[in-house]
Amino acid sequence: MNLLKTFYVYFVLIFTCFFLLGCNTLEATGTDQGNKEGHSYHGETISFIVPFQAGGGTDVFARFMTPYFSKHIEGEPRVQVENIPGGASITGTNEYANSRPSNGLNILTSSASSHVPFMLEQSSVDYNLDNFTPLIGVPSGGVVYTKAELAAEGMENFLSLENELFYAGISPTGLDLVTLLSFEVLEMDVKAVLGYEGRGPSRVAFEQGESNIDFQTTSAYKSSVEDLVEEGRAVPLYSLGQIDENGDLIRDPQFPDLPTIEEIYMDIYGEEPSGAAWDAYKQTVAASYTLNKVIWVHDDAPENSKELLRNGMEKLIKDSNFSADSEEILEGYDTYIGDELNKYIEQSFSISPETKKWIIDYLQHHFDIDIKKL
Amino acid sequence: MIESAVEALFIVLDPSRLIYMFLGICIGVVVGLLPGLSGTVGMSLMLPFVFGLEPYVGMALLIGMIAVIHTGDTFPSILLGIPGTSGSQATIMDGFPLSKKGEASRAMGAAFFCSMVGGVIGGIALYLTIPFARPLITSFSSPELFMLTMLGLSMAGLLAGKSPLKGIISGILGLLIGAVGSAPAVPEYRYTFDTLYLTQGVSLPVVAMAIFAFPIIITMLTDKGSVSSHAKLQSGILKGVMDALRNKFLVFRSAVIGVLIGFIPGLGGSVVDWIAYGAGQKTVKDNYFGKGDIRGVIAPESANNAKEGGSLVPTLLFGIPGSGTTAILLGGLTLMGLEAGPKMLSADLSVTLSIVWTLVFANVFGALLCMILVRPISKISLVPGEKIVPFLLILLVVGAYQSTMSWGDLIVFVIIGLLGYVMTILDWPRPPLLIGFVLALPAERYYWISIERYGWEWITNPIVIVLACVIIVLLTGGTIMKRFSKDYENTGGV
Repeated sequence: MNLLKTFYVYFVLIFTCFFLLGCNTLEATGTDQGNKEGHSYHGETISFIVPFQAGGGTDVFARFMTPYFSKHIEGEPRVQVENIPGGASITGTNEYANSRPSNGLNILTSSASSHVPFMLEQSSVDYNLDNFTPLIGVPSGGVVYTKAELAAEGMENFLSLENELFYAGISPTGLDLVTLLSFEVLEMDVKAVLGYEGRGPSRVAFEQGESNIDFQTTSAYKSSVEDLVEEGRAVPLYSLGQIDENGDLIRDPQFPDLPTIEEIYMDIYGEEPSGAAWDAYKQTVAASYTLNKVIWVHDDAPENSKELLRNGMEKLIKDSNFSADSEEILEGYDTYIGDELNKYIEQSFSISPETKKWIIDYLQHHFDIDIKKL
Repeated sequence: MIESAVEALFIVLDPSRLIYMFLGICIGVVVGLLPGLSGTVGMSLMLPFVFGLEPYVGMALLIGMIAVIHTGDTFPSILLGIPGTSGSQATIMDGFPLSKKGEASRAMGAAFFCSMVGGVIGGIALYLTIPFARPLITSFSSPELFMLTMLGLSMAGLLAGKSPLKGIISGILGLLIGAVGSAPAVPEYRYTFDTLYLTQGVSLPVVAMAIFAFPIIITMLTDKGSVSSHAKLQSGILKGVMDALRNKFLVFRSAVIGVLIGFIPGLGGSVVDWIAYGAGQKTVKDNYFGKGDIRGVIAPESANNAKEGGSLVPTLLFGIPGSGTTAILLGGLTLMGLEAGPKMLSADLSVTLSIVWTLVFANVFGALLCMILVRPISKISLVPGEKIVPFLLILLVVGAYQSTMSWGDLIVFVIIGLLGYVMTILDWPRPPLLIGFVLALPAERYYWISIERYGWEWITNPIVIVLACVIIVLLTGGTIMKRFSKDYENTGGV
């Protein structure tokens, strides 16, 4: 009897171990046959690398895209999200570039936090975005807002405030960089307090008065800040804007009533903004917002696979379900594919040596950051 | 609001949604039960399935799971002395000795009952704080949060046992391990030895598993014999429930502590069981905590389920996740077309209320399910140690590897495990190390922000002064009590 019980326990334990092993994500490493000759992805599994923890914004984006990828890529492949968190997306992107076979069965999503370090050639970056083929890109946006009482006496007065403005941010190398550069262009005196855990805590800091100028990305602004604006506790100042095909800063299509910093600058200073800070601002808006997230495949993947994937994207954006459902997740922005996407990539990531040096010096001087040590 | 609550009740009780809640409960119990798998893993496993689900259904699934993880995780803590998740470590302190005495069923009966009561209190607290959440949460600015982390750290002193000095050193060691990786406020990396793996720091599940489970495994091998020295398992679930009822004020106090700590964003709810345990040790008369006192099980178990209700407040209303589990829950919300924020109280109020109900029901059903499972599962404690070790090792190694899917996890697991073993041999307390580890980042973050933002002005802030007084009373009170109570000398060991 006792023996039986012991066996029972053993059985349960063995079963549990198998269960656990089963929990491990399968890697779609792809065999040698890969996708060399097939004319479709029929019966294949595409591994979709997300260099972030499950549940974050980029992960949610990837999981949202997955069923549409399955549906529209010829052969209806299985598409499986694989999270490789670490190093603010650099670990996973490095792994994709160096360890994943370029057989067309591995795709990657990148985000602003992989774009800016690549642009600035941070030393931990071991990938080259030029070696990837972009499939689809999506923009995002942001709005800078402040306390109603500070903005009450007009923009000119607001910009000349000294020692009064506090900004709560996360890290100067992330999305905060764009906002910090916008202060620089507008020659504002803002004390940046960095180290907050995320955009949510920084918004709470604004509400409790710890900071008095803040920014939120489009969806968070709409869900959490617009109420504050209606209650009269916050006032939007400007949207961070988008970069158009000609490389010019334009108003954010989601916030057509909010000016860009270019308009504000012309209003106050009577001339167009220029100089290194302005170039750096436009460059980072392009790499962080206009191309907020991009899905890629290895450049040396089989030509046939790349063709199938690209055709899939064209079908995908014509899907009416996609455009209806994407309202929430993609914040209502249009997606970029094909030649348009290539043009934006070319424009966003080709930074001039002077601008690059200026940004690196700016980070070194204001935040004591040595980009070569990150 | 009561009308909408009744409406939400009917939504939750819809049979098609109830099925999902029970599915969530079953997964939650299994994830809690298996050492090494934490809520974060459970959530990541379910995330792919919630896409496109109706919010009520998806929430029934996810909240059903979150609610009962800290019920299920009691099994390994009591039976094997290995924490089921990082939320049930304090249960080991008294639960495991009870199990050795053959009273595992009693301990589990008390634990499940307290988990249930604590969880229900958490749900009620979530409901009651909804109208006040906004002013409450915005009243904590960085200086206050910093002082709260200090309060948490001073708890390490309470848990130090016989030698305060050893406790302090252990706590500092924890702070040191917590400092590995990228600094919270300044862009620099510490102790990463040029490896990309360490830039994220060491992960909590790995440290918690290693420091508690690793030494136990070695002891199991060296001691031979099964965990329970008594050949027969006494059936004592009811006795345990009665124990809990007799200590109803302790249950309530601990649950309130759990809710409060969960509620404060950024404090790291993972030490809530230790804080409830420490507070229980301080306030319960004639206790013999650490040597198989049932009240040492009641305190942490009431708190860790109550925490979930508290931590959902900042998560749902502000989009500030209090833990890895709630961070993924936020992603789940987005996938179902919801956005955390004030709208959860207006347009999506019914979803929020359905979460409250799910929390309450899941805690009740989860506890009942666990009570049914007590008899078959407690047999594990009769299996000879050396036969169970191989399975445990596999579980723990897979669990550690799950945390970031990197080989580094395994190396860290072994190194911290050896440290834990050395500490057991030298009789150094391990709880302070864990508290130090968890609070290292928030303490540094809020200290830095306070200084950057306010200079030294913040020290004169009234709440800061009150908290400082509480800390001083706590620390000196502890020392004075130790001096005068001779009994303490014999009981405090960890």
